[in-house]
Amino acid sequence: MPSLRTRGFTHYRWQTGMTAWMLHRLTGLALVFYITLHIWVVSSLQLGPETFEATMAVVSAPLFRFLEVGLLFCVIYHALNGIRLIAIDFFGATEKHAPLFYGLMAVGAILWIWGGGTMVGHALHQLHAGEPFFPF
Amino acid sequence: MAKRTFKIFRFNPETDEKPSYKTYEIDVQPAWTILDVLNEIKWFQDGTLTYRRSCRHGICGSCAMMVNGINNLACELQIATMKKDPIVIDPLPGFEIYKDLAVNMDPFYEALKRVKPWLINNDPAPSRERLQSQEEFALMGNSIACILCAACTSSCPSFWTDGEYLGPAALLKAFRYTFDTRDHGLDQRIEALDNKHGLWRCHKITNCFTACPKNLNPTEAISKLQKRIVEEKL
Ligand code: SF4
Ligand code: FES
Repeated sequence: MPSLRTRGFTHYRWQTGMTAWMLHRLTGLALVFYITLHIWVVSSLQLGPETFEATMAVVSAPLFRFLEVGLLFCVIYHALNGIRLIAIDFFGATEKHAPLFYGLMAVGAILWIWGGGTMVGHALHQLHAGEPFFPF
Repeated sequence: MAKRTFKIFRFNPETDEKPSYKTYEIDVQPAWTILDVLNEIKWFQDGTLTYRRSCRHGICGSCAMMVNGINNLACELQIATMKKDPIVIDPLPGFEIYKDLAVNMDPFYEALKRVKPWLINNDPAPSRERLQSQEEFALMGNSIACILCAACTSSCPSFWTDGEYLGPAALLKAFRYTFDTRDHGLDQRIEALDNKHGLWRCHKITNCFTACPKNLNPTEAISKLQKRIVEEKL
């Protein structure tokens, strides 16, 4: 008999709570990936100043500026939804969790547009100065 | 009378390879619930449709199913409140399907048994009942009103991926006894709760809270129980 146990993922309605949880997971995984990459990049310092400078030149290319806009999204989302989860766990906010989510997301959107805008501006500036988009 | 369309999940594991949906056009009376529609189909149009029901007034918990993507009681859900057409009816997700809308609820009852859902108190019984003050009673909140319909457990993604997870209904029961001032059984329940299929699998997704037809709040009960267990362990 076919396994129908997980058909909730495709048939249950994606309400605020389930969507927020899935995004929390995905941004969490992205952050773990980023931290690993970050430690690896910074560890090039062990190989001497030249190697470090060369690595830093790669990761400050416009491509990475754009990726950082995505990183900023993950950080902001994960932090703000984390606040919501703390509110649910410690301040009995379950009944208000959905408006709380949208309120926090409004704050997050402002932060993201603000910070992301600065990053994109910087990348465009680099491209304008003739830096190649891909560092490799 | 208004004509409404119902798309109903059909699956007979003895004859079908895959589940499918069957569409029914029904003349709906103004005050009909989903259960009235299912009865209309079974009694007058298609006797092969299988589903569970008993009390038909929201107290036995037999008729929980997924309607338009959210778990609810078929006998409480009024057709008039639903604008969307067709109305899609599915069995409770997360359980093995016996036939059509009837699922195997064994894992649900197994989980319930693991939390020992009865009063544990070895003190000699007083000559009359064990009294509680209003304030002590209030600690349990409305958790005593659970009808064990499984709408919550079946709506929980943690349960979909781990069929041994206690799930919100069993955890709400554990909360109900742990926060009952007459109960002394936490040390007998803690093993089932503080375990990889227990309390810590709750990620505060809140599907249980939105699904519960009795407006109970298993999410909050689990948070309180988690705090209690941490305090107990420290
Ligand atoms: S908590 Fe609500 S949804 Fe869950 S079993 Fe009890 S009555 Fe049903
Ligand atoms: S038939 Fe009893 S709760 Fe619906």
